[in-house]
Amino acid sequence: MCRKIVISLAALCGFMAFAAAQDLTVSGTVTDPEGYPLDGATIIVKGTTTGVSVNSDGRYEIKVPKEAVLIASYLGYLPQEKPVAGEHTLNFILSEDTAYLDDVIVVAYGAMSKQDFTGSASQVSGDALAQSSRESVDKGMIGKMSGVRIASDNGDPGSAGSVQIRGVGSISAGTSPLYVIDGVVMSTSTASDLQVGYKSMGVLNSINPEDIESMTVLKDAAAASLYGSRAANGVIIITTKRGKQGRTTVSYNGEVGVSSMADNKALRMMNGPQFIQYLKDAGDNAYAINPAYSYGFTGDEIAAMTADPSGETSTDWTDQIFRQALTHNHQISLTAGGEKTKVYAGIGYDKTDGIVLGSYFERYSGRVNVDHQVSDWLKVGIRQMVSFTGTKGHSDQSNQAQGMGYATPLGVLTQSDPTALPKNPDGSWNEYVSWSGQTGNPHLVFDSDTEYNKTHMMRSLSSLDLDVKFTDYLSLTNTFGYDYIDNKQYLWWAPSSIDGASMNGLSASYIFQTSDLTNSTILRYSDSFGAHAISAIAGFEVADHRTGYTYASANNFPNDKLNALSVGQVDGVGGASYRSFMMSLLGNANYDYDNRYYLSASFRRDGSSRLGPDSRWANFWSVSAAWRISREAFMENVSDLFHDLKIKASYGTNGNLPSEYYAYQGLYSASAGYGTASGIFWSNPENSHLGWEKSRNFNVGFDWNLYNRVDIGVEYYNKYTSSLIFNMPASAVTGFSSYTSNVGHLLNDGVEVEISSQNISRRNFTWSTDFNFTWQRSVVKNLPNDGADIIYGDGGMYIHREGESMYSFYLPEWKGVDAETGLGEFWVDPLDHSQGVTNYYSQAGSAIVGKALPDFTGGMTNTMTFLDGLLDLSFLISYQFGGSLFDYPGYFTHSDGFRAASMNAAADAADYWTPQNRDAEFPKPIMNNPYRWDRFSSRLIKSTDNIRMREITVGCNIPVKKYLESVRVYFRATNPFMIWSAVPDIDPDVAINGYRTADVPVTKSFVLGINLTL
Amino acid sequence: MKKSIYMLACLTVAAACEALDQAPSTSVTTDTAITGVEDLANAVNGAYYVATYGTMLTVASEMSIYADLVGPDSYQPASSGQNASRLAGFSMTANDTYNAYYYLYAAIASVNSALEKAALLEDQEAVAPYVAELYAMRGLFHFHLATYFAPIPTSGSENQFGLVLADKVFDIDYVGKRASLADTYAFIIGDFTKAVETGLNKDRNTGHLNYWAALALRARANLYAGNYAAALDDAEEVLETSPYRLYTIDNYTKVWSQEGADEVIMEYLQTDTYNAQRYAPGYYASPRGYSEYGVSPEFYSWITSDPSDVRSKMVADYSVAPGGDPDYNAGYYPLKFPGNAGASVPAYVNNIKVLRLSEMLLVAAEAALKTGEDADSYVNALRRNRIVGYEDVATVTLEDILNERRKEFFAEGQIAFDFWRNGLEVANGSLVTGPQDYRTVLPFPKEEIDLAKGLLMQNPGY
Repeated sequence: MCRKIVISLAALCGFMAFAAAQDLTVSGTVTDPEGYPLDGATIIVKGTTTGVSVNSDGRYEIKVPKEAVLIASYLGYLPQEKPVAGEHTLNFILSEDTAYLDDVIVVAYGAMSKQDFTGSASQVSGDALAQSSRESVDKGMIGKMSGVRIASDNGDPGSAGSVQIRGVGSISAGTSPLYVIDGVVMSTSTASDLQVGYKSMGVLNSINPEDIESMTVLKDAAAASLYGSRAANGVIIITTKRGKQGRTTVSYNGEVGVSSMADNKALRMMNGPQFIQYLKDAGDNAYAINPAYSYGFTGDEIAAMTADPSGETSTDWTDQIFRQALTHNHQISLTAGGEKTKVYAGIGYDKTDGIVLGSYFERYSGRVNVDHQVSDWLKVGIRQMVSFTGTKGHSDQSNQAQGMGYATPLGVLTQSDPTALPKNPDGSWNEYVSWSGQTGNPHLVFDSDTEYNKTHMMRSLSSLDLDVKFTDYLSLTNTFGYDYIDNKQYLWWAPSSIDGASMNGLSASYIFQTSDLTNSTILRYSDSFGAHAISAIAGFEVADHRTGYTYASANNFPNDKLNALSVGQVDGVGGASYRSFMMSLLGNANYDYDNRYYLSASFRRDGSSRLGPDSRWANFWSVSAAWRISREAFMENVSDLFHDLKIKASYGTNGNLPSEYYAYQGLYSASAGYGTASGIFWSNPENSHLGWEKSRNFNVGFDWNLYNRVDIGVEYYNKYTSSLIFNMPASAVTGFSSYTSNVGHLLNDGVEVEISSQNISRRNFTWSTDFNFTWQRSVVKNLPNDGADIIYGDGGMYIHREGESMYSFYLPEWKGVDAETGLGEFWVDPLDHSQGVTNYYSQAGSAIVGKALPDFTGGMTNTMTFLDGLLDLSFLISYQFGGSLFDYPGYFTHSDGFRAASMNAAADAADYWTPQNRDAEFPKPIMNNPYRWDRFSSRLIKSTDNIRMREITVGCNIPVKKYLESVRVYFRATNPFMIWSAVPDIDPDVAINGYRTADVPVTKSFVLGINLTL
Repeated sequence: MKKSIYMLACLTVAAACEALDQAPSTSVTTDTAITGVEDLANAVNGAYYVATYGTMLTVASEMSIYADLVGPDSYQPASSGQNASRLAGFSMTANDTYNAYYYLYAAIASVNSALEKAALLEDQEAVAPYVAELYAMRGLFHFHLATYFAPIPTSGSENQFGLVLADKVFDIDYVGKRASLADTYAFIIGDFTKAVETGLNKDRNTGHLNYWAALALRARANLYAGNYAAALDDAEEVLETSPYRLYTIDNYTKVWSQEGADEVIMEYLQTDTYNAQRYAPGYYASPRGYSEYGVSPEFYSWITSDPSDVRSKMVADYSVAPGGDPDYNAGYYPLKFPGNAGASVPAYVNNIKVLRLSEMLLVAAEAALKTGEDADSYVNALRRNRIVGYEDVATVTLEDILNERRKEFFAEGQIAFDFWRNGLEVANGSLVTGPQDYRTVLPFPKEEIDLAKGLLMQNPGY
């Protein structure tokens, strides 16, 4: 009712403003296809703000110029245009907008009406993804869906993000979801199949986000268990764009922007005078304990070794290493369609420079999708994508292991002497800026061609769909897919470089190739008898995955100039191949009565070569039901409030396979040698009992549409994973440090809320809000060896303990600084403070001091349009609470003098204890600090609670009349600012396990773009 | 027609089912790995490969100079934040990853697996030499572990825990207890005895443990265990009948890049393909490398004070950086890592010298001294091949023998053990470690202790 008044008022205002120029009265009706009047529909004169609203009989009357074009529109229906052309009567029959009310949702092996869907899934449009990130599909999902967590801790373009659906699915096996593109399972290859890990690389970046029509995340068993053994971590189904009938459009999108460190205080180091004072204090404090700690030097003597001990020189190396980087993106696409043939074709180019000197990401991609109705009974779809992705970057700490590479951004940053100048007086780069003597000037290390890591990835995705219709009830679909990835990696450490010096240069070339061939044959049946509707599918699928690599490396190069392998001398060669195979049978049946009661069941049987003959076959299944209460007669009186209300529940099983290809086999490796002779050694103990990891999923929830304006979806899930594929630690005495076994249980449960609301929908102002909220936890329920704790991770910093969260940090508890002595203190027993404190790290006991996983996460998108769609504004806010991060860079930059002989310290570490500064945050620095306060403790655990502005987009749709159909100009800011964060100046975007590496910190970017449509 | 379709379907399914059996490209299954003597020879090589695997803290990297780093003549010209300076500063903890522990036990597991499979082969006569070598390997790998992770029996340490003895193939969930120190050395000596008893493998075999290596290692183990008469017997036999010859004054400075040099009874082979790269001792002992292993200025002055001793030429004065190069870590360095002849990166590729003939002279001397016999002849025999115009001495003391060891075996991974097993302190700069000091024994890896849930005792002090 309210809306009707608003529209009427708006129409009235428009009417009055326009009253002077009328010369024809047009009247008519606006109805739905069955002839029912659409009370409250609007009639607008195209290109103006003039309009009227339709009365309860569906009738309207308006005075317009003779040449005017009228547009009839009604919420939930497709708008319709008609030229007046001198007519006095124009009747409109509007058809329902199926995309609005009766959303089609892409599901496993098909698509179905959203109202009939009994499982749990979230869908996001391709436009919404591409709006957030032109670089990578996964980064575009941040904050847009409940139950989906994207972690991307690395601002290096082309680096990997990780996606987790409904918590952490496994402890040792994979935790990333299955990706299916246009019905074909994409390569399950991970970065480790495709590169040697000098730096993070994301395989998903080979997909151009702009080719994507929609992305659906399947969450519960009902939705996902048709993918059986690979569905335990959820499934992401990507559907690419298709041609549309009767309409040809050619469009261009171009963007240019800059990116920089999101929090520019995140990696600030001490300036020159601070560093000199720090060295003096650290040296003197060490000398006082034992001169050996300061190599026999006093603090003054050590400070005198800096490039400029006077304290008058101060270089901020952060500004030297990190920069404002340029990005640009161009995309041209064509969509066309006739009665029988529909085509989408697109070609795109993206170049994103990294914020570290010398790094970039680049992608050329092309896609053609053709769908053709050959005859009444045969439909063919052929899709082909090819992309070339190039990156250049530097080594990083993404392996999450102790130690820091000398030629990594963090390594160079921490080891650069802040009293050294970047340039010599003659303008050349100063070579000698490293305080440790082990790194070099970042301009020479990163921005020259003496040390780099480049990748060139080619990916081809081909698929063929054949749809054969036997009768109206029975059809057969065969889908063939071939996903081929070829990644070439080039590593070059010139003879003069940091890493290359000892070998007189090293050049290495790697070729990684993976292919995934999938073929599925699905028979479909659907029929209805009166109010009963039945549909079912049955099918067979095979999947053949192959991967392998070849590499060659050379050393002893004559100089820095040439790096072709033939220039150096042979250093090493290698190569191996791996293959896994899977066969599956699958089936699914759906029944509904009167669109009111729904029942659904699915079954899949999988056999995998990754498991032994006795345990390789397993069954997966699900059952689900839904009840659309709003269709019941007793709800008629409240049909506005309960425009649609459905409650649903599902239960079923999903699985997960070991990541290793041959884990069940007892093996002797032949990739060994001694001197010039061959060698073989026992490399894997036999494990023929190794089986599937299985999860039992329960999901219950409701979908409620209020007043046809607000959609509320609420779900609770409980996913219990048993027989986990677990890397059990083994005693080294057996010859192995771990083995794979099915032990341990894990519980993931949570509540998800998604709300979409059309807050205001006036003609000249609309405002909608999409809000999502997730509460979730991942709890270790059962561990082997009578529930004994399992300590793991870098330096044993994580613990698996029954009843505790996944990724719990298990470390000594830092008490603080003793104001009297300036020494750091740990609690001897974090759980029993009565045992007092110790100054020695080695005497401090450990306890759980935090967990990486947040309790609450979510996001909110607000979209507004002004002036009849002329201007639009949208912004996305994301939030998370309850998790912590482990600050690995902080371990180096807050070493309390331990690393003073080789590294600078963080700017905030200057607040250390001196007799004059007794309430300092940090203890007194001591070179080679024997107490080791710097070692991993709760001191490095920081809250990641934050509310962040993720994205702001402002657009202007410029009205055009000739040549072009539409022109849109927009400005977009990504990560522009933090609204609130618990710990300032540490970016809370970190890896899923909370381990902050920050070689390339998270970036913010500002982009200007234009869309032209012909 | 129907029948042929049915058959086609069957074939397709059968072919697909077969595809579920996939085999790796770089491994063979355990039951098909060793089916002949050639395979057994490869398995012997493979166990050496695992023991010397190219990474940090193995017997081919830092641990090969561990006893020098913690010894009396240790000095760190630079601190590059690597493990050598951490070992030297006794700052390693149980949280550190001692790859030597993992890789030596992995090598022992391969040895035990190969021994199991060797027993099943038909041609036992051809198999016997490999079996003898495998026992010697198992003894040596345990011996390495014992010197790192357990006290030396004669040191007088109160800690009487030895190793978990890996005498057979274990189930994957096996968790062992530490044997007593006495049993540990008895086991090591027993394995060397198994190799020696066969009387096989008396030819030189570079990089491999032959009869003489087993015998000489048994001499060393007996000395460490305080079985001085047995040590003397074994050392005498090696000295009298082995095919090895002492280095001479003329060739002493040239032998370090040679493979299979006159004196070397056992060395771990390192090649361009298989080496410890930056963790190799050569890179630590290079002024342009990590530079965390040099010799102390005092040692330099002492050893160079007698220019007639050829060993004075095995240290270098790099105390002034050429041209003031700031990338050059000035100091005094050992010259025992010149790179194997023809190595593409000399600092990475130096065979690890495990055992040389001259050690048998000093083992014999020390054992003789302890058993009240004349020790001077052994020391004189060594010095005659080292010092120009040397005149024999009539008596030698334990101090003389230890000093001789400092000169002869610096940079070869023995010095600190020599002092500790004689109950003597080692003064490394201001860090003084007596044989009772807990730091003379490295901690067991924390993961190993945690896993054993009380069954495995950590060394005291950690």
